[in-house]
Amino acid sequence: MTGRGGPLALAGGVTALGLFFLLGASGIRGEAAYAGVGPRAFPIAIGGGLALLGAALAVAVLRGMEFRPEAGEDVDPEAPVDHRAAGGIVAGLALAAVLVEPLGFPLVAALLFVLTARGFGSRRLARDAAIGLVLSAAAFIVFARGLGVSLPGGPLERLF
Amino acid sequence: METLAALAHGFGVALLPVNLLFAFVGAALGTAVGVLPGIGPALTVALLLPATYQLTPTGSFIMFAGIYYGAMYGGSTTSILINTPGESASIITALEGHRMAQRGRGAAALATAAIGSFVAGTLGTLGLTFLAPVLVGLALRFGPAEYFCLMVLAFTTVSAVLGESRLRGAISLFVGLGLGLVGIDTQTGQARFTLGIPALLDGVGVVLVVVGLFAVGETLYVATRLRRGGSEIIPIAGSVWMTREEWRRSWKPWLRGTLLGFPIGALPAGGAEIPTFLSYLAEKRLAEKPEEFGRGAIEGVAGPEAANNASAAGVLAPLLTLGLPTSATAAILLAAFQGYGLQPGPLLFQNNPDLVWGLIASLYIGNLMLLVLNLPLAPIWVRLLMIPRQLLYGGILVFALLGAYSVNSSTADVVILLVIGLAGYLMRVYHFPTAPVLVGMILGPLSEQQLRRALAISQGDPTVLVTRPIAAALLVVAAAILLVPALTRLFRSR
Repeated sequence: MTGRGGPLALAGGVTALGLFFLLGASGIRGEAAYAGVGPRAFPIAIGGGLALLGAALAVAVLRGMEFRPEAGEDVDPEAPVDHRAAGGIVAGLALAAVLVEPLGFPLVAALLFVLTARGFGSRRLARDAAIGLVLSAAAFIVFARGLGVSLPGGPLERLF
Repeated sequence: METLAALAHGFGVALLPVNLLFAFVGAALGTAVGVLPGIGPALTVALLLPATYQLTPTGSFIMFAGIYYGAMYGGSTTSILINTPGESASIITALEGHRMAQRGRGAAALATAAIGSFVAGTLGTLGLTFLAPVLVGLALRFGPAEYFCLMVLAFTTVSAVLGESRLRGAISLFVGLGLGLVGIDTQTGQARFTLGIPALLDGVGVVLVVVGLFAVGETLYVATRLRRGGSEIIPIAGSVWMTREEWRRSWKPWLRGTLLGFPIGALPAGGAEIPTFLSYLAEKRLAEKPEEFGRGAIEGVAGPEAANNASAAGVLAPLLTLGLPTSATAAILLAAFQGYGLQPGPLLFQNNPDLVWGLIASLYIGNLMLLVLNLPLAPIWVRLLMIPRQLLYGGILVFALLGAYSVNSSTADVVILLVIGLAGYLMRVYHFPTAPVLVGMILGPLSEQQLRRALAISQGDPTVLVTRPIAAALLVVAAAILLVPALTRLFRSR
């Protein structure tokens, strides 16, 4: 496995999350407590637990804890890690958050489809766009029109 | 007798044409997601959740249960034919099943898996039918203190027993508990940890977490480490029917797998991984020809496949009678009940007999449908694996976006989805288990509520947790699960 920087940063993140809950707990009004267990008790216990577990993880990492990446159906754990592939997908989801309301679900989902396919190595833009549009439009018709799920249609709304 | 009458009533509900249709759709969808990589039963139920609020709860749960059972069937097909388990419950099946396929007995492996799944699923459902009323009787004696202690037990087992590292399991659990804190405190009505974001007042949605962890996290992880060249699918060869010899060697493992799968599924340490593994070890030890293990022994397929289906039935017992989820899929099913304003438990059996017994009856029917769908049609399901991964994962994200946005019609949810997806990616890279996150997130707020109720009833006396016998016993078991491995290590090192 690679260096210890990643796991240590993760341990720091867990501790930081714990501190977030501990600090936030002080802002909660604590009346209506029985045996000291009011609305603050769980946040303090969970925050404290996370902070301690983060510290324990850091210790375990320094003592040589092994991290075997998870195996999976389409996963080759030995393969070199390709972060750019994930970058395009993350960008696609971020774009989707911004654009889904102005442009509507069918177009934005098709865009996400194309970016994901590219992340997986596809270079056939026209095919991906066509399949993405058909799939997104079909999902829109079934879920929004058929099952009454609320989804923005965007400028193409009238087509469906 | 009362149980049989209730079950007969349930069949009346389940045999309505519309409910048969739901059972069929669930079974077919479940088989498909069991076969497909990247998508499993928990994610499928989560994605369908927003859409199903238009349907009746009975129909929805019949469909969800079909998906849960179906995924157990479908997962074995890929394990056997391409050596890549479709679900974690089918990992063990790949060991012997794939070897059988390589030796030209793939069809027999598929047959023993499907028939074994049917036998175990049906026996497991019988177990559920007769265990559920007993558990309901027990649950009626539960007060808030007992429920709290039961949840503490579930927390310890789900984080300490599953997965390879108790520390990482505990971190997953506490992250889930933390997620559960977000939102309005049910007892005092004040907002906690919402960061001033109105969308968070209702808490972080379970659908978002499931879709983020299982769809986005998985997609990102696969994209960065894609297996190039794909896997080779072994064409189904050999006689479709098992020989007399293979029948003879299969039926005992089916029964033994059922006996392991159902009770372990029903325990708070539930899930299917442990019973399938135990069943494999048991069959290896009991086999007439142990030398065949590792080279395609049919017992090694028959036992674990029966165990995973029986465990699916077992998981439903504590879920329906106590509201206690013991696997990721059960956690999302509990969230679905909450979405309908239903609380699983004794009252559900009293107030919604149509739903509960219709659901249980539909499991018998669903199992029969799954046998028919899987045994002769396996070659068709395998074709799903020909979908290019570029398109498959693109499609998964299209539905992830749909599911995430449609819960609250909110773009904030899409951002939260992305954040949870990145966290899910890291969890895969560093091998943290995901089920404890879901169990913690859903049971966390419930356990807080029960503890505060218990203390309110006892007027602030915390000893209520140790003076009531059932509560104390549950805590002792939880403590034992945490302490026994540490103690045995201590004694061994001496």
